[in-house]
Amino acid sequence: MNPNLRILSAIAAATLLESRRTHFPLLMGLLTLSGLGLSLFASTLAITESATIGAMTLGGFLRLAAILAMALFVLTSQAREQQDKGMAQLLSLESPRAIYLFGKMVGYLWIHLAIVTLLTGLMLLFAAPLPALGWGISLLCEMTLISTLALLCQLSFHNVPIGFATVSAFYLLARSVTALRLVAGGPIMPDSATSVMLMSSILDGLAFLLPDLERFTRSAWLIQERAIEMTAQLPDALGFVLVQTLLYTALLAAAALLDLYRKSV
Amino acid sequence: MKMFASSARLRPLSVAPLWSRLLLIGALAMQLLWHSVQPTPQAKAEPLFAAPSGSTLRLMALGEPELLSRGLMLWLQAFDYQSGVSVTFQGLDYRHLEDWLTQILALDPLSSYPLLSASRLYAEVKDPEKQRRMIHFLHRSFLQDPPRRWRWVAHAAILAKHRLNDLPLALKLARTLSQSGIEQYDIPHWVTQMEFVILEDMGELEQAVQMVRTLLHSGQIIDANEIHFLMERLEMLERQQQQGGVQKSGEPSYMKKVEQEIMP
Repeated sequence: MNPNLRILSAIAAATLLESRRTHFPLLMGLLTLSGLGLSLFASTLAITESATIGAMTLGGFLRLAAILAMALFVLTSQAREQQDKGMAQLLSLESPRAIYLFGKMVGYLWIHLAIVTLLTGLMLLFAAPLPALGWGISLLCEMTLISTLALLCQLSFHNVPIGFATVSAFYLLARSVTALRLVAGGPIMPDSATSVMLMSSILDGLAFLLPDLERFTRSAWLIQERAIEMTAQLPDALGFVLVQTLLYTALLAAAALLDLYRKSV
Repeated sequence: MKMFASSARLRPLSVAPLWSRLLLIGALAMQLLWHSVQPTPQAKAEPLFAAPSGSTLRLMALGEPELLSRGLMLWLQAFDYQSGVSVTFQGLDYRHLEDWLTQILALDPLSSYPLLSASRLYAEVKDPEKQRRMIHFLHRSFLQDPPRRWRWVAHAAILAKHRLNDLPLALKLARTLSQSGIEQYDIPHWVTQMEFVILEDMGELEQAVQMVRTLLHSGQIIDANEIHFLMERLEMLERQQQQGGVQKSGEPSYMKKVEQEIMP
């Protein structure tokens, strides 16, 4: 085996092992149970469409929980590695620094796969098979994007609270920028107001730079009554998700690489 | 404070392999290109669904009902503007809209946002049934907190009179105002005087005269200009009564003044 590939696999395996040792599976299990409880509660409150409300609540909650938990895991894991000089040791190896970054990314991808397998398996109990699988693939892409961003943030800032704030702000904005643009361009806004024009331009600019996460992992895909319609729409929806993930992950990884190469060990 | 990695410890950009720099530039360019080929977001007019119960919303508020109230109003506002004012308002299910406004107001009873939206936005549609629903909402909300919400029911009375041409409804709203006991608070006197203008419009001159006399003798009106205005009004009404007909001299300017005062 190529020595670089061996190092990459070792880094990925160590990342996976770290997640187990820090009880990350337990956290995800507890979050899943909380989501189930919440969804049961929501479905009992509903007068009608209780199954749909239950599935959508569960999907929405698990999506957010998985993303935030993963972002926190990446940030804290990187911070620990920076503090105990593990990262410095790995960077001082003869292999290119890109191997370190890709190793970490592959390790995180394995964790995403484990989480998504668990959550999609659960969603299959509540939603039609194909839309539920599509939901799982989209969640995998979304987690990849966010964990790469968290990795970049921790490499750049060396500070967990700032990193988490940045990731959260990015995530919220990416999920709402389309809606914000629609509100800002709506007929209630005075066209002539400078502040409105400025805000509208800023939002348009942000939309160019941010991935459109509003089109990822939609809870609406889990509505049983719309399963046929959703299944028909799935190829287009997933096509967008996959291309967007590929592009944006490449962008974030390239930025992280530049930062990594510039570091003095 | 060592918040960020010190730039002094950073090596020059040239140490990064060329492919990684090209990847950054290429990915950024592709992201911009990818975004520019995506269709412009078009909001689809989706039907407004039923509002959840008050207890569910309280739970969702996580202890911040005022914040949720504002958030929901913004959401409702964005919902209405999915594809333009005129189309969307007509297309909204006003039964659900009324429920949403009621629940949002219940989350923060001190907020006037739902009431303003009901009277100035949602009641502007050219659909009498929908206008009536909003007026009903404003009337109902007023009864819960007259001192704070008189403005909205006064506007509802004007809507009923001028837009719906429903004088009995306008009179009912004006009577609600005059009989609610809000005169003890610091509110303009015209609020409780709307009733006689509407009575006059309806040709109920006797009742209108009686009302103006009651107002003048009540001792609540102390402003000289206002007393003068009411005296003039009384004389005019009595003259009309003797002639046996309705003359609306001066009424539009009065209502115009009222309308201006409602929305400063």
